[in-house]
Amino acid sequence: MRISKNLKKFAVYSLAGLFSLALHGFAIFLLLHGWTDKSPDHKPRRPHFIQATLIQMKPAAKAQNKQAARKKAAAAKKRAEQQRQQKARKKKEAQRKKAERKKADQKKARAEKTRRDKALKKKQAADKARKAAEHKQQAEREKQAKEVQRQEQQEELQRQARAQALASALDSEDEFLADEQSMQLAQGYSDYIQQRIIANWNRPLSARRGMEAILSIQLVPTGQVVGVSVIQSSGNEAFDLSAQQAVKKVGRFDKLQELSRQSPAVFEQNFRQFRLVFRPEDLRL
Amino acid sequence: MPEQQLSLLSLVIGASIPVQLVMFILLIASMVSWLMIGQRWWYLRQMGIGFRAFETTFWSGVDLNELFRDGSQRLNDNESVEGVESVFRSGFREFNRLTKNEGTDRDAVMEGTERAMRVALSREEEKLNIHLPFLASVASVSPYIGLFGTVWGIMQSFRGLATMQQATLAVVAPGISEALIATAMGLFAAIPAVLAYNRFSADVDALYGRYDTFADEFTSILHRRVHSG
Repeated sequence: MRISKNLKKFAVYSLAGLFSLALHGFAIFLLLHGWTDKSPDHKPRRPHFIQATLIQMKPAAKAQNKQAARKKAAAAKKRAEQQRQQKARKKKEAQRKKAERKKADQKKARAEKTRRDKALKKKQAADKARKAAEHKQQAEREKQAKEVQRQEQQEELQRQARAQALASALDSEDEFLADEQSMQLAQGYSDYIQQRIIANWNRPLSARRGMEAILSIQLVPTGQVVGVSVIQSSGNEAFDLSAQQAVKKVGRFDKLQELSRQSPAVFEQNFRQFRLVFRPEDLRL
Repeated sequence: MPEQQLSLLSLVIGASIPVQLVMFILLIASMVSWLMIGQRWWYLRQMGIGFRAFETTFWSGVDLNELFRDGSQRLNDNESVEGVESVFRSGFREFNRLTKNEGTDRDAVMEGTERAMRVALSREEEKLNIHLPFLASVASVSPYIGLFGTVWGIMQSFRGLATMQQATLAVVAPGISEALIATAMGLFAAIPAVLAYNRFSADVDALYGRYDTFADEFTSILHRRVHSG
């Protein structure tokens, strides 16, 4: 072996250097590939913000009102339909009445004709017979008149009932619209409540996605919280406790005071006692 | 990117400049320390083999002059003569030189020989210990460098957190993950360096001890020769 001393040294160093390079290259390759394959979905989720600026007294202009408008349109259509039906019914009734009267007239004419015929035939028939005939006729006429009257009365009654029904339908529709308005109002306030609670909510480290605790909260018209209780536990005591703490920490929902002053009915209906679902959605775990 | 993933590469690229610098330093340190490990491993192995081979020939009853001439032959061929053989050669050369001069005191001969061998021994020890201080430095310092990178990265990510309205884990997690890479790299560089340093310094000690023993034995042989002759 006639390798010079320096060359041998150099060879040793370069071999060691190659070994080192290969080792690091392999380690980096392994890390890059193993890392990306193993980690399933680490999408950096945006923090869960809630904008609750929509405390509004009137239904908003467009988007929110769309549904209401659609409902209103449907209601109007229904009303028109009802009116049309009613008209048609009336017309039919009138026709029927006319036909009846005509029939009655015909009958009368016929009766008269027969009477005249009879009279013609038995010119000087007995007074009795004629009187009887007259009686009969009169009775019949009376009966007819009575019947007509009765029909009219009935019709009147029906019409009244219909009007009443329509009025009540209109009333209920108005009620429905008012309901919707109050619902929107309530929605704004419940967004506010949600925001306040989220701001005061310190979740425990053991909170996981998929947990869900339902709390029942009682308020008085000043917005003061007077009662909090867990209706449905999430299974994690710390989590339930943190939710309760969040409500207690808020203590008082100031804005609800104005609501209860403005429309006590909405307050009574929505916020005297309500349920709140606590669900950590923004967690990655 | 087709799928939004927190890949290692994007973390490294997205890191701040000091953290990147730290990572670069650690990568270089790790690579160089592995180079040293490879070189040392090979060198110490050669020395161990060379020592055993020389010892076998030495105690096989070969003529010492023959052995010395053989080494000179190899030196002329531009091959290396290292380790215990160079200790033997320097001792033997000095001994021959001193005994050639008639009238030199016996003790003076032995003293000169011993001194020459001591010098050769310390040269050999130096050679054995090359690069080991570097490994020791990497072993002890690179965790700190990595920790510095991590602390810096976490500082940055918490500073970013201060401007956020709502502090969630998702805001700080990428920054911390990125910062922790620096510590991981520091440990990656340090652990092999520690192991290699411990192993190699133990090997060097053992080898040096055997050289020393050989030098003593050789001295006693020469001593016998001086006092009998």
